[in-house]
Amino acid sequence: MKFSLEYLWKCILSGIIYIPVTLKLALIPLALAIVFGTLIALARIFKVPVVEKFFKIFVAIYSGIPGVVTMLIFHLIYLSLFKPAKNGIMLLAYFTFTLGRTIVVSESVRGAFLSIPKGQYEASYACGLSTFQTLKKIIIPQVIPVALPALTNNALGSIKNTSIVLVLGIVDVLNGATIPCADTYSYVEGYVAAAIIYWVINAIVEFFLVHLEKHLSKKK
Amino acid sequence: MIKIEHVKKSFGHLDVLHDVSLTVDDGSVVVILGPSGSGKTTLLRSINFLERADKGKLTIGSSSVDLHSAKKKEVLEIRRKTSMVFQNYNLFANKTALENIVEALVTGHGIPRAQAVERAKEELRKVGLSDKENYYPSQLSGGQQQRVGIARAVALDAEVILFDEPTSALDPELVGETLALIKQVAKDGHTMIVVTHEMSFAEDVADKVVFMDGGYIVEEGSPQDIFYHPKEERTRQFLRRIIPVGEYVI
Repeated sequence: MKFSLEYLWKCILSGIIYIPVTLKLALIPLALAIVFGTLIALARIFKVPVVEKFFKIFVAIYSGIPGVVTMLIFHLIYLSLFKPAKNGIMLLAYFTFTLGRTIVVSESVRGAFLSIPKGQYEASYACGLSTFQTLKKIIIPQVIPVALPALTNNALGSIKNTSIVLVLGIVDVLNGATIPCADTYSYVEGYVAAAIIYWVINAIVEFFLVHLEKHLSKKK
Repeated sequence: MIKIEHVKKSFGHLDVLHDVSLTVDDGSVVVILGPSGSGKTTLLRSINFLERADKGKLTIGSSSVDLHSAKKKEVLEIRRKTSMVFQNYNLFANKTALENIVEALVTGHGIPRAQAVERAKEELRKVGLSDKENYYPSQLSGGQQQRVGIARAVALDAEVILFDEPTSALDPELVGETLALIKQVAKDGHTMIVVTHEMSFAEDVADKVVFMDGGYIVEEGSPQDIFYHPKEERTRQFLRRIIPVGEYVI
């Protein structure tokens, strides 16, 4: 097998152009997942009737299915229900990723909430704070440093996981890096180029989140 | 005056409180004694709705609420008229000693920040922790944490301060100083309900001692009555076991 560095560079340049696509696919669902995941976690912790049961079952089922499989299923449902639209496939990817991430994030956030002793709630209530004030002033500031390592993992996982849009034909970093390979049928450089780009993105993201973790845990 | 009437509470099949009533005069100290599982902590926690009683009525001053069906707003109102010192201190882990008190005053009681800081500093000075204002709970010893807990409860200027076994989790060496501090709080004229196992403290401080067992108030009276002339056999039995006969010889 021949490996050409010059060709690798060409693939990297071709992949870099699509970094915004990959970041959009990773970060928009992640941001939505943090919002929805926290709400689901709260619903389960405060044992909101019906909602709690529903998400418990939903989480149990959904977390047992690989992302690619759900994506393929949703793709077929989409094709049979909707007329092809310009951004349709992209929206489908956002939808699938958001759903999957929400489940994972809700579990990490729930774990972080459960790690806060009951006494913190009780002391706050006893001091005359309402439930909302208790969450805002006392509980959530303590939950964030606990949840952050898991959320860092989630952010990295979210970026890596976007590569499964391959099955939908969306051109992201992985697909973009292999564009030059179509001429030569030598895909090794393309895949290695994609690996390098993903690694660099994740290294940067991890660097920032680890610093944020350190900054927040110093305050305790 | 604080009046608790006909409180009932059960956890599943376990009846923890059967029809308990208690009156606390303004400025007086009521000490609740009793073996574990007698319902004394549950009674205390029903007063500020940390436990929701199945039945009962609470009157503080001129306002009454139903302990079972009180609405959110009523619960909040009662919680703002009471304050609590916990067995495990329960200081806010994300706040400094000073901020623990300030947060309760500002967010819980709507007191302007500048005024709250001033009052918090004053209370910390009274418990001898002025130099620890900016320490987080994890940087304080158990005794120091509990002193902040007491300062927080006192600062809230509540109509009644509830003490839930305030020295049970402390190092034996630190119990004395904490009890001395609580005595000082009592001397300042605060209305207090104290659940404790510290008999000599009860004898010194209480205006009224209440002995509970099995979810009932077995006997109540002055410390003199309860400790030296108990009427009920159950009270005598309990005191015999707790108060050592004779002195320790080491």
